[in-house]
Amino acid sequence: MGIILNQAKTPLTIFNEKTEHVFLGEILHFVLENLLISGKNNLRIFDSEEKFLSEALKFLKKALACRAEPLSLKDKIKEKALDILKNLYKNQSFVNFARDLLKDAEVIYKEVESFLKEKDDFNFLRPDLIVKTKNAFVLVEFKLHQPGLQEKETIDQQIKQYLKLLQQIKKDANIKAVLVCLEPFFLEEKEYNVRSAGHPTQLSLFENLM
Amino acid sequence: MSEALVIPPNFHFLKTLCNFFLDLHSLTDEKILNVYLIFPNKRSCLFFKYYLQEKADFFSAGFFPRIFSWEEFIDYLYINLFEDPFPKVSEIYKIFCFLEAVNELETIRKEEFEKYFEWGFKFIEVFEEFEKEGRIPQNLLYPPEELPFFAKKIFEDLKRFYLKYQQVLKKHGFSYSTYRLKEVVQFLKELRQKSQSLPEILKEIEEIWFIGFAALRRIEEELLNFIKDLVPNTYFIFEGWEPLPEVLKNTFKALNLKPRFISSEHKEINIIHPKISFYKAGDVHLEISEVVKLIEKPVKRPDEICIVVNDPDLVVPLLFQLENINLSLEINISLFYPIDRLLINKLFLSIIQAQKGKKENLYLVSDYIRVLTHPYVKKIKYLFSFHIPKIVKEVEEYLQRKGYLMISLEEIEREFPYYEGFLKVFHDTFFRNLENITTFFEVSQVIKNLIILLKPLWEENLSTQISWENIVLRNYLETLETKVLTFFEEIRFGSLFQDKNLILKVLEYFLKTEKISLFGDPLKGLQILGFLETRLLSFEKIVVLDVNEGVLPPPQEFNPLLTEEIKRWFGIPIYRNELWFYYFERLIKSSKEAHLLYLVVEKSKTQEFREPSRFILKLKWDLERENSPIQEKILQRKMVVFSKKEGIPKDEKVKQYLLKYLKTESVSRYFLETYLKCGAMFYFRYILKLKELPKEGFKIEEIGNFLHEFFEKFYEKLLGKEYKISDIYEEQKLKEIFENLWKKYEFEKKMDPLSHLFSKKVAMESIVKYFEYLKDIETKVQQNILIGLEKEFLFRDNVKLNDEKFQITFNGRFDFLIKRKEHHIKYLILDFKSNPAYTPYSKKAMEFIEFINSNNLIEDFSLKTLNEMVDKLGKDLCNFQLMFYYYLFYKNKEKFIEPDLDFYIINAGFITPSDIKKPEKFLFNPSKPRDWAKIYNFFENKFIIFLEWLINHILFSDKFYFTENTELCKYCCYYIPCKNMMHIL
Repeated sequence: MGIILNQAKTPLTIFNEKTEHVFLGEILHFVLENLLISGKNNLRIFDSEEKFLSEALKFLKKALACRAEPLSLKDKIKEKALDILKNLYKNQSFVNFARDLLKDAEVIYKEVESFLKEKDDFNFLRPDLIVKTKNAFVLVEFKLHQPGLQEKETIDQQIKQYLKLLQQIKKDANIKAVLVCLEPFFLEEKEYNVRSAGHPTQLSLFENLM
Repeated sequence: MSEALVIPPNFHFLKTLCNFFLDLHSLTDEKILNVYLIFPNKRSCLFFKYYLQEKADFFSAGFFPRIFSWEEFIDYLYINLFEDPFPKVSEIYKIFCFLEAVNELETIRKEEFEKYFEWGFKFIEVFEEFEKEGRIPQNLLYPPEELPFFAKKIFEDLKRFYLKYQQVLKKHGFSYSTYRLKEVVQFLKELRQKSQSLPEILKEIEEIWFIGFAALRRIEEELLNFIKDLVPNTYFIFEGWEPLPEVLKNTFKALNLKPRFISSEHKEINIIHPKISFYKAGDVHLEISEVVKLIEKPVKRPDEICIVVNDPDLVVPLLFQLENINLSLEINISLFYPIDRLLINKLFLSIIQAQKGKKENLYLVSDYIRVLTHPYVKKIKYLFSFHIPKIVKEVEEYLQRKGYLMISLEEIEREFPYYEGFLKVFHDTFFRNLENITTFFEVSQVIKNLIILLKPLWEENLSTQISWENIVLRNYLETLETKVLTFFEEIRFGSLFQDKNLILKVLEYFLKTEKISLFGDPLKGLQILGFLETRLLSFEKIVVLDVNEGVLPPPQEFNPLLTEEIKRWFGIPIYRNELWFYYFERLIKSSKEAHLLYLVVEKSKTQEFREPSRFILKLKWDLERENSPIQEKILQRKMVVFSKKEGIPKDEKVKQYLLKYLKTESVSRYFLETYLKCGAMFYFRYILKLKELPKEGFKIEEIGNFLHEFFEKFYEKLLGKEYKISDIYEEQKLKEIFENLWKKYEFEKKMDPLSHLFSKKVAMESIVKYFEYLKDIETKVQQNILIGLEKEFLFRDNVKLNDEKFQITFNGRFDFLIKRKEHHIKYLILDFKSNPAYTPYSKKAMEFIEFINSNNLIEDFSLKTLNEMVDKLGKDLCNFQLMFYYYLFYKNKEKFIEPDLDFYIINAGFITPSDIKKPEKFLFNPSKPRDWAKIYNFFENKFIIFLEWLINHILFSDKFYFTENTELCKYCCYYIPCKNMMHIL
């Protein structure tokens, strides 16, 4: 009858499954998640580019220490990551978003492992950040590049599931999700609140965020 | 005193833990995100999550607590506690840091790097043993005498070398598991000493659970004790039973814990007595066949059946058998698989081997052929318009024909100009690109190019990851990319190690020792796990393969720097499998059914001695003490003793073929001799026409051919002439012929220098001595005339076959035919033999004549009569060859012997120049002249009767009989098909 082997699929560079972009994306995820957590206790890191980059560099070093890639590649990635972070800081809407998000944040959870049961499917989810404020929960999801049409659908589906997850757990809470795209920078927000009867709606940026 | 919560394995450890955990926590409360659970390995994390999700089924969504394996947790702490953490590197980086450290202290000479490289691994193990004990290595003033001088020197000054090594690691910014653990512990120690506030990362941990740890090393104990003090809600969960195992008691003591067994309200199940079955097998295939029988229905849950594989080589036959059962099976495999089992790895190792064997611009032909005939090379057809297998075959045959020991790539390219396109790419990619490497980086580029070249072979298959081969290959490539290429692309050690041999040795080390870590995920179906992967897991049915001594517990790799005596001196704890006993016992106790298979091989030529593991003996002993019956099944092969057949049956078709052959072809001595030696050999050679596989390199018969040709060249101008060796012998000229011919045979390319030197000397000396012998006997010789050289003789004689008269042509080629005048005129038929053991048996020859003269050869074509006849022809059938040649000459004698000659002697013999004492040996040495008449009469009238009987035997015996002389079989090229024919077909 035959056998089916269920094995973790290891990505390979030769098949372009593990590209510099993927590497860079993972590094930036680590940095931004930690940067926002750090900013919760110290909003002043957003006061100047110097402070922002100095804090980012701290996490960049940690992110790179988690990886086994050769030094030469790491140097290259570090440089690219710093460029992206510089551009990000130059974008006032990101700084505003971060400040607005963090000023009311009570707790920030990163890489939250969770599950969502839909009919008979059991989905394991891992949103990048869940920010708990006095009145709401905000999900933050980072993407390095602007997604293509097909990818966008997957991301939408992913965010929809994150919203659903929180909605199931925190039935009375206002729940919002923000997609942060780094290159080119843009923010996209979706809301799922008790009033909107279970369907996420797309909002304009920062409208009624907190 | 804190509490150690003990969960018995028969409660189902992880599920019971889940029950207990869920009593304390809700998965929908975000506070759970500040609860940390630490397990010893990743697999137990995965299973725990699986059970959490299962038990939380009534929730439609939830959060998982923070679940880490021990290693992940240490990495997490290290990365987050330190401002500038170092990346974790593989073993090889550590070795190079060690080498750099030693070089800074002691300046290593280039040629010494290799031995320091090998010993480096052993020293690093010593360093890490100290680190695990939370100590700095101390000097060993009197190291063991048997250690090499440089190792003793390092040992005597171990602390200084260790500190330098740490300095080099820091300079490069490298870390490794024990280093990270050591640093974290040091950080926490200082934090406590200075009473500083907790870093954010530790504040986040509101509750922490250490689950299933036992036999902790000192540094691990320290860490757990620090965390216990820092995090108010620290749980310690253990898997244990009454009476508590020693390893647990020691752990409780080290962590200052008071054990308490979990209350039964949380227990998931309670297995009172697992059903244990033992299986004693003679070989692994029997084991595997039995395992497959134990899987009776589809395996749905991952905790239903687990097959524990202690020897990774069993995975392939196991999967093969599982594929053939009438069930659809989903499988997870989690174990370490050695990379040297992979075909692609063998190609890389062959390429390195070729470089190691290369001298100047020459490659060993055997190494070249190994690369050329590798299956992947034959498959790279997408690059060329050529049919690559055809090129490979042609080049291989050319090299085998040439018999060179070494060859240059250019020579092969010159020989096959029409395949230049393929050969150039093949040679550049697999050979030339590695010829002049001086840096690790260059090697990484060569490997990358090779992978790119081979990539199209895998592209389609690897994307699906369906088969075992593809899964292993993908993991292999990943290992190569992350562990090998990553290191080789680092250029930082370049200036220190610019030696091609060392660089290749490092690569070879990787390719021989590295292991692929296979991880079954998502969790589904049948589990095939390495033994350590089963920690904390419970299965309904557990099947453990190869529970043998030397396998379970696994043998410890011997490090001469860490003998028990040295460990005692250093104060490093000595473990004697206590932990393995604990893991084994918990595995049995946690399952409803345990099937334990082991091999017993008492004495065998083909298998190593195997005996059951001490675990089996203990378990049986425990069962006996409890008066529990021992269920044991002996797995035996259904032994079929194949009777040895007498011969290969001869059917009418074969007989007709032979008859036609005899009528139309001439019959050589080889034809007849082959039959006399072995009927089966005759069948393979003359009926099936199976050719011997060409052999690589130098062939021993080439020396014989050389001697033949040498004497032919020496004598060719003397044909038909009278000569005396003492007159014509010129040492200089002889040497000239010798040298030219030796060069023509290209022996220097076919042998290693030492063999070449000796062979040449022996050959030359034998020839010189033979001529000296000839000069010596010339005192008695009046005249020598060379009447034949490499001369072919034919004779057509009447033979009665099946009551019918046929004319059969016999043929033979004589090396020399000499008319030598001594007291009488002698006609000598001489055959060269390079092996001095060849000798005629004169007494046997006369007995043979008597036998044929006085017996009617009856129509008994049995094996017995054939053997009797072979026995009469002397060892190696030496007499047959000479008699056959004698017969051919005798029947053609009027062409050479004057009719009016009254008395003459015809004799046949061997020239064995390497037999210095007696280089000429003759078949007949009759004491009385009248015996010659008897001999001549025999060849005139009777020898043909023997040939007739022999040909009738070939044609009309029932079978082609297998020889009873097994010595012949040892070097027979038909050994394998013959063995099958003899016993099975």
